[in-house]
Amino acid sequence: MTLSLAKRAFSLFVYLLVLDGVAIFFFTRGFLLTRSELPAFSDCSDVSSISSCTGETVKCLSGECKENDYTEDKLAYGPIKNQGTPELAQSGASGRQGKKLNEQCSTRPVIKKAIVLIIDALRFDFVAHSRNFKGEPKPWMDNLPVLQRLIEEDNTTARLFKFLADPPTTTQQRLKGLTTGGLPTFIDIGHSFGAPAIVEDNLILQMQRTGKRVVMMGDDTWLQLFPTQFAKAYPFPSFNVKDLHTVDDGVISELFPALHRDDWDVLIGHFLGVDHVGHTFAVESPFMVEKLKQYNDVIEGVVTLLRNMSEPGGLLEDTLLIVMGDHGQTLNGDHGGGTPEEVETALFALSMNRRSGGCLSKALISSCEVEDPVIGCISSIPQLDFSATLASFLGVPFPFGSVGQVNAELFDLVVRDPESSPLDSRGDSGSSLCTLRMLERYKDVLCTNSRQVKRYFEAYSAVAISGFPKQDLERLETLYSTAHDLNVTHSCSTCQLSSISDVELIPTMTRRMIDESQVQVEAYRAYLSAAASLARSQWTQFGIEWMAVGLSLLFASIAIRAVALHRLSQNGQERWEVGLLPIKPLLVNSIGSSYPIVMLIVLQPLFRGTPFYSAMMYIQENLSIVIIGVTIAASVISYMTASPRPFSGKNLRFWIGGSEKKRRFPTAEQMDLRSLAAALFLILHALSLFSNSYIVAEGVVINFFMASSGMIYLRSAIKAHSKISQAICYLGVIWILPRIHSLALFKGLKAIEGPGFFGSGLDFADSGSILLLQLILTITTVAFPLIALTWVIRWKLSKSYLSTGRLWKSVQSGISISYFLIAVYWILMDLTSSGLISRPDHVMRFVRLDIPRAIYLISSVVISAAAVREIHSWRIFGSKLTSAAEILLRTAAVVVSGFSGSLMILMGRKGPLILMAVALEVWCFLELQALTSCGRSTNLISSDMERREVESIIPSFRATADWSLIALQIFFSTGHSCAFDGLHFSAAFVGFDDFGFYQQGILLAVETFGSSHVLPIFGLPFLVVWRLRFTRSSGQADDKYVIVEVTKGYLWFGLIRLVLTAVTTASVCIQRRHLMVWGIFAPKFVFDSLGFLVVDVLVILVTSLFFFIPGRKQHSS
Amino acid sequence: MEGKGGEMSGRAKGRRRKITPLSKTFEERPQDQIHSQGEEDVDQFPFPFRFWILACVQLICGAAVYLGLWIVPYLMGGLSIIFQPVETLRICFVVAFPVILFSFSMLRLQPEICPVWWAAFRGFLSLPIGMIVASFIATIFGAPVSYESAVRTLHWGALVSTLTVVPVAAVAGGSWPMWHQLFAATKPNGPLELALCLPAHGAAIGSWVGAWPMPLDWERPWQEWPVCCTYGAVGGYLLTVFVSLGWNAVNLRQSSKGEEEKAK
Repeated sequence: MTLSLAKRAFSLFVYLLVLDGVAIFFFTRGFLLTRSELPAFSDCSDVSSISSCTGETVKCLSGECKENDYTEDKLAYGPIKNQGTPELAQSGASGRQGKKLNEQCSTRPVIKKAIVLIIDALRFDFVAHSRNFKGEPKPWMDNLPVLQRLIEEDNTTARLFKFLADPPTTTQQRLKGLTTGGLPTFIDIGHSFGAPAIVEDNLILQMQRTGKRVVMMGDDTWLQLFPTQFAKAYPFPSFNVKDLHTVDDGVISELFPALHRDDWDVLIGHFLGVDHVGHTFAVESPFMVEKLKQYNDVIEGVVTLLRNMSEPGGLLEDTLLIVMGDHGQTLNGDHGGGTPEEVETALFALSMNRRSGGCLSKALISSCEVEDPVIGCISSIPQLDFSATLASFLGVPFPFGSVGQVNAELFDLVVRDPESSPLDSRGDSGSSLCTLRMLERYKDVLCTNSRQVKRYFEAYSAVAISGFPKQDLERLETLYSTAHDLNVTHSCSTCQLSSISDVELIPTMTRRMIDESQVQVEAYRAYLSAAASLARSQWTQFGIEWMAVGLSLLFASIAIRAVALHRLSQNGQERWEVGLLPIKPLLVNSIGSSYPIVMLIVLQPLFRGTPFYSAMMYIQENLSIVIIGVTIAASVISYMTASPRPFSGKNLRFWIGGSEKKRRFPTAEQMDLRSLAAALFLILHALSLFSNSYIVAEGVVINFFMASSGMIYLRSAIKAHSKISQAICYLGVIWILPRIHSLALFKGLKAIEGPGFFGSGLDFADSGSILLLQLILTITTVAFPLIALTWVIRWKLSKSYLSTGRLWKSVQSGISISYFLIAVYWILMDLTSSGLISRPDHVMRFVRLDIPRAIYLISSVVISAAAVREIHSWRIFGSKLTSAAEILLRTAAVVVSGFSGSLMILMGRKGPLILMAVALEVWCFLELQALTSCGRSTNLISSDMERREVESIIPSFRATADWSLIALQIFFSTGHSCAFDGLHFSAAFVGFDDFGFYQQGILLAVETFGSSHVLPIFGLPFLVVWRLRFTRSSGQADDKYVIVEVTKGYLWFGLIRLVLTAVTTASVCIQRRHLMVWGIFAPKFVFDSLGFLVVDVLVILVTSLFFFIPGRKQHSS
Repeated sequence: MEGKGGEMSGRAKGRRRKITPLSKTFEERPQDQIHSQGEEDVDQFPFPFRFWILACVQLICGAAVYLGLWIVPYLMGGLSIIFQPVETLRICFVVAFPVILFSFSMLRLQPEICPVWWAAFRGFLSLPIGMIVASFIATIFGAPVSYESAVRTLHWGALVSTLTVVPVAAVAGGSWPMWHQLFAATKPNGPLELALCLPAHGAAIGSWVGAWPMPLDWERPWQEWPVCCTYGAVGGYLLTVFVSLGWNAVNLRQSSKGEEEKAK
């Protein structure tokens, strides 16, 4: 099989894509392990059939003690019965309890209705009083005075908690966690776009099953999660983060009418305004205060209604109001990670049940997060516990997969002792009786709760592929049986109390029994907490072997690239070219290697009973994956060993370019300062990925390296006495580029001029000067860069290879039109958004929607025209007239410039300015490539030096490493970061109002990877050809030479990125128990690996152009 | 980072010409004489003395920087660079700058046509330029640009340019070939040039390395800009002062042997 070098190079990149894809897939499979979702559901019957928890003590107190039945208990826990008191063993009459439990189903409902108001991204300091925080009260604090007033008025009916979310702190994951009581794993975050319905058992489903009518209004994520479970739903579109009011206004308009109706049992209202204000304007903006004040009024209204209608027999009798957040946010309005700001939110509960004060022992309430001078202790609740707690109040079964526990403080707040009022009069003993009864009830609830958790753990271990570790399960089992033994021993001692006639003995008895119940409650809580922490650790349990395979494949891919680079730099000998992609050995070995596995499976019955059998069963279960893995591994090995010459130790020294004898080691001229520095930066960057602080500060780190390399260029330029001004300009752009994004003027004049922001400095009456100011602002930041870029494309780019052809002319005009449209778009948007001119809605709609769409259209037409043209001219003329450099440059120029229009409109107002800076930076960089390693300027280059430059792989590395740094700098300076909150969701709605998975996904992907991946990769041929102009004295390069250099460039680019990705992967693997693994390392891994696959795919796109290069010339050489 | 001195030299030269046209007269001559300068030096100071004078100057400068950064602020009411960076940097600058300026002015080239006061004056002139350029470079590398940190940056810039640019300006003035040779080509020729070049690079690279711990989330006060960069700069400076001293001492023995042989 003989292939030309170009086709071999293309196939090599395809092979590398497959390899990288498989490697990343394998690693991901091990790292982002998902929790197995069990399809089982809790049921009234399965709770009652095993129950010895509920009912009896309550009945004891009401004098039914003697009728209690422990038969089932004896059946289930035979040996234990002897420990019970004789009275217990003798008690009879079975039928009643079962019937009663069936009616009330797991726990007795203590509230009739619940109103749950969720405020998305509610920071804890929005609710808690500002005196609890250090420093000056910030503007966003104390804007919900109604909650603070209620808490201060009566801490026994209203209470505030710090509500702790588990990362990932995105709305969908949190809603899932809140309703299932489980821990949504990281992989769910991938569904954030197309929220899939929850298949697990959950609170909403249980409510529906037990006949509770749930009404939902607000964020439409709910409806995606629970498509059929609501009795009524008023969803409002949630995804457009610029839309601050639609959801909230919708909720408010539906909420109050619903409160007057009696067609619901649970009402959920989900406000999104705060989240959207945070995303769009950050926490400090005046809009936030406005929003919070609006919520304050809403809550005020709800509370007033509740007060009025909660009298016995009223519409809202026994209603619980909960106001809570699903997660917090940082001051920039971001969330998703695990920092305290994002994790801490607030839960406010107001119980309308005023029969008595909370008399649950204070000893149970342990965690004191904040010590408030007025209301005392503010404790914290994990969000994990929410589902179990609310289920116990409403009397619905705990969701099957919940691992939370019923919270003691909320229980104390909501559950009232029905007999307390007559007993209260007895003073001290009355209150301790109350305490006793509450403790007993709480203990019963916890008992049911523990059973449910225990059952879930058993079911999960039975079903899931990777169950819990044995010793942990045993430890849990011990804890559970301790708690249960205590319960059986003591549960009916309360019965004795009611039978005691001696009044004097009651207080001491009560006290003793309080202590006993407390011990039991603590035992149950110990079990539940242990279970929750085991679940936490389990669902970050990793498949180490998968990770190891994936990681080693990644490192194999690094090695393949290095070997390929070495074979490529052998300066055009035929056998080395074959070695670039030795097709025959690859195919034979990889197909051959899977053969033994298939044979093993076929012959499997023969091995039954031998130790291999279990291993073979494992292979059979994962057959496809094992075969893929083995095939890939075999192909890697065959690639490495398929040497064009007999294998010897010398082969291993592939790092050294050139022929064998001359240059074993790079000479001093090759290893110049710039190459060394580039290598040093790469190594430092890679090492920095092991630390979470450096990952967070990666943008700064990249900038630091760019500045360092800029200084080195400046030094070389001064040394060579040429290109000094370009070097200084390069440094200037490096200075300005990261700062463009954070310039305040891009947030729009409206945000700056918001009420109270400028004070009275800017008078709105003076609209003439504002108009002028706005116009100047828009023109300097949008129109001027656009004109500059148009100038570059029309006149500068045309001067090089690509001037000829009608296509380029029409491309030019297309691009000019799209740039003009961008300018019009921003001028109109700015003027209307600052309220200076007003246009009818349909005109603005046209501007908002149709201009961006027209720009997208122009871009796609231009790019596809370029593709069609290449194919067409290749078919008709066989490309006789074109050279490789011409084809590559022409296509790259058309794609880059055509693409820039769409990218710019997606990047927002700062887009044109950033792209202009990028263009300037790239131009300076290309100019600086004229400085060769010897520090001499272009003209002085000798033929010997030329040969050295060409043969070695070092200069190619130097240029590409700097190019990759530029690409990274663009990524970070366009405001991206390797975190999910760094995604620019607002970009997905440029030109669209409604949410569609594919169109918005594509726009988001283009915005994220467009500037930092598409532009640099399509631009790389420019760099290569430009460098050749300086290094080849003959000027025009022959085709083969261009192909070799471009392939080298892409191999280096891929290698550099792959090193970074592999190091990220390794660091994720090493740091998998790190506190920040889900907050920082995992998103970084996802971004890096995705970005790397994007690089691979784009490289394949570019190298597919190799097919259009006529093969004639290569064979001659 | 190494290009830094080079750029400064470019700027320094351009601006100096604008500010003081007087210096032209001095500048044009040294450019022709730069190669023959070594022999003149020999005539100025007898051979072994040259080394000892240079060594003394370097040690004094090193001691001044050390005293200025740690001892004097401590004596002046327990100031420390970590908690009072601006004040401490100012003290260090006030202590080190005159010492470095005048001691290197003693070593000026062509002492016969360039009086001490002129050498000191041109060293003094190079300070603001070096300070501004160094501060700007620091912001390219990522130093914050708010008002408060701009004050810190300028103080840091003053100290760093005292360590890098001022000695060269005092010794060589606006001699472009000298600047080029020291900072762009990095080929110091002779003990004096080594003593100028090496510590300057040491200070620059030291502060580059000193910036590394800054992003770490240890939240220690010394991670604040410009504390650890100052540590890096001064540490690098002191280290390279001793390295260049040692290097010169080793070469002294060899070259003195050569001298003896020549004398024979």
